Amino acid sequence: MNLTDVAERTKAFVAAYLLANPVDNGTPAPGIAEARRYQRALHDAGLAGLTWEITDGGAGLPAEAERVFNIATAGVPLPAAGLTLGLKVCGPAIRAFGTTAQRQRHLPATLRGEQVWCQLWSEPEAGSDLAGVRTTATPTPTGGWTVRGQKIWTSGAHHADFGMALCRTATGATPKHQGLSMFIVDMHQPDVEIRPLRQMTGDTEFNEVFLDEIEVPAGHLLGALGQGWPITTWMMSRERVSVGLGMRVRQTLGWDDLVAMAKTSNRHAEPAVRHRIAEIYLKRRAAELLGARLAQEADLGIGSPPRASALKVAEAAVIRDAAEFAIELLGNAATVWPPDDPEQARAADAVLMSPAFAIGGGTDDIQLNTLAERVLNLPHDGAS
Amino acid sequence: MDEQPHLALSPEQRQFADQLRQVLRHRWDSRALLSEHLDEVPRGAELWRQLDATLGLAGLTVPAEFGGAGAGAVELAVVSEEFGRALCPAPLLSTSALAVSLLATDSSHPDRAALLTRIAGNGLVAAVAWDDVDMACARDHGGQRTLTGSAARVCDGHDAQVLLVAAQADGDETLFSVELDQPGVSRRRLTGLDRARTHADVTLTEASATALGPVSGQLERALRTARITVAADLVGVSAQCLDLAVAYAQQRRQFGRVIGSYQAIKHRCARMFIETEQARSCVRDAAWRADHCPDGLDLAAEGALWFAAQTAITTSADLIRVLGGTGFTWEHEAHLYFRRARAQAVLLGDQMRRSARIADRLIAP
Repeated sequence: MNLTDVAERTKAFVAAYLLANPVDNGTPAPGIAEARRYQRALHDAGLAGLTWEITDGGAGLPAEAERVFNIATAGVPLPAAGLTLGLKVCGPAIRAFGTTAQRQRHLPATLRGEQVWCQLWSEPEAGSDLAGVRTTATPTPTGGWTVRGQKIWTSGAHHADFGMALCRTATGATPKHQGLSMFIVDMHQPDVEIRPLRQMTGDTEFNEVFLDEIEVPAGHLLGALGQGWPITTWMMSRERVSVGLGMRVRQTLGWDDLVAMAKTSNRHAEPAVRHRIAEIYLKRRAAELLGARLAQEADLGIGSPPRASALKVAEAAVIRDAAEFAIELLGNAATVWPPDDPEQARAADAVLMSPAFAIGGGTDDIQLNTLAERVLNLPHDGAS
Repeated sequence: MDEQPHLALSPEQRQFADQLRQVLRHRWDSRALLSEHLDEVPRGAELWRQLDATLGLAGLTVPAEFGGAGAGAVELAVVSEEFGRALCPAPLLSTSALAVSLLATDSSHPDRAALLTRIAGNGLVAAVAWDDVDMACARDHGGQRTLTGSAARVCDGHDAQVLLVAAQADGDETLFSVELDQPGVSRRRLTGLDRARTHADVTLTEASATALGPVSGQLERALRTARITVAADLVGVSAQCLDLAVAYAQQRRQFGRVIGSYQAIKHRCARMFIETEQARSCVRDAAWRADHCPDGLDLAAEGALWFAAQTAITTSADLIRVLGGTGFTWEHEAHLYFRRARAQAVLLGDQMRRSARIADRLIAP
């Protein structure tokens, strides 16, 4: 398959998929089951894992193939969001750090939509200060590990098949970052207890996860013992790019939505309204172009990975601006609506969701620290 | 297959940018702009020829058939960003961006071709009057064309040897070139907020002029190239403000700590970085489109300038904040960047009208 084939095959696949699964404004957000079906269909069309090795179930194509696919699917409402973590972060981490056995066990199945992933990272006492995790993994006589601890804010844990768990394997290590290791945890095993947390939107997308002396077999340690922190920062940079790029999929408003709202409310001739729409468009465009440029430069090995934090902060800001503006634009009609008309709740949904983008995957404040310390080489907090 | 804009520079382009930065460091000290006798500082033509001697910059955008390097908008933006970073006052905007773009649109015209050859070969500085022009064309006793009238605030107009200006002739909007070293020309040098650019009011009284053919649509095209060039310059301004702020924050101590260890300062610097990188991405997109794909080019160029200008205005003010009182002194060059950011934001039309034009493209009435 060459790049032209990718473009044509993708267009054909998208057309067929949308014909079979029509989407309109009344269609509820796609669930994980639909995401799995979609991914399976994508795999059967030969379009899953375009840049992954053939032995991992991918198509073995150069990075350009991914871009061709993205162009061909730009703006198309595909239900893949629930799988992003597996396909863009956890899967690539296994490709980068995993053993042959781990690659065989997880990568082809992830590409078929059969393995959905979550990240078991944050804890009640280790939020922004993630390297302070207290969940422990202790060796068992059989070469495996026993994991004890509690995780929190775990997005998608309730439908994940596997989790990447950051655990302490050496207590008292200094600095604390050195005593950490990354494990692949089967989320379906007994003693993994998942308690959904209800968000301020009313939805439940993240969870508390209790790991009550769960057994993790030998061969489920990702990378080397003690390599947990470098793997985490590697995954974070990937996550920030893919979270950044994926931020627009749900519960966010595009400038075209704002134009439609301005017209519906017959305010599209007001200079202040036009100015705000132009400003939001330009800021979104600048964030998108930054994302595209960081991806291209990463392919060429230019620039440092922590720069991805810039994209996430920029995206979060414009998502918030758009949601705030939509409420102003529609006034009371955005805040009061008939119960049988969810479309009218869009602006309210968007504004309620907007704080999440400045928190999830590391708060804006932590992203700014990362940029200052790791890109601009400013000193750590409290350094003298 | 649709191609996505290339937003990363090639290794050759990056090497060129590095080389240019080093040469500028040796050949041009922006602190000269702090001189009380600014008029005596070699800014326009003289500096242009010095830089040309090392880098062959004069013919940067001139097509190869006229002795130039035939560079596109991407390379022009690379040079302009370095000029902005160094506050280099050489006439890149007026000559390489505006004049060459105007002349090259119809280079089959022999007089246009001759001017392009002079730009590339002799380091000719050509200025373009694009607004505030009141110019009438006549013929002298010998039947030669003459121009009478005024062009206000012509960018690089004081240093230029040739002025390109439009006037009505035989019922057509026509482009003229005027040699500025002749009796019918008077120029008044203006004082600028931006100390790195010289402007002049140019008055013509029956000055002999050469008609270069119809100009319809060409000026708009040249201004589009100019927008990308100014946007790139503003990215350079922001990038240098960021570097100066970070360098100061790394060494200045207060309360027993380096101020760069305080989040108030770190976060300010990080936000400067985010906006600068976004602006640079917008400029690369617009420049690539100018060279490869006219789709969405107008919007990309206007948008890049809007974003780069907003960014430079805030980053240059941020630099002064990080520096504190030092940043408000004459001796520190921070104000030179602040001045350039503010002046360039309106050089090609103000930001409010720019965003209104962008809205017109996005929102049908």
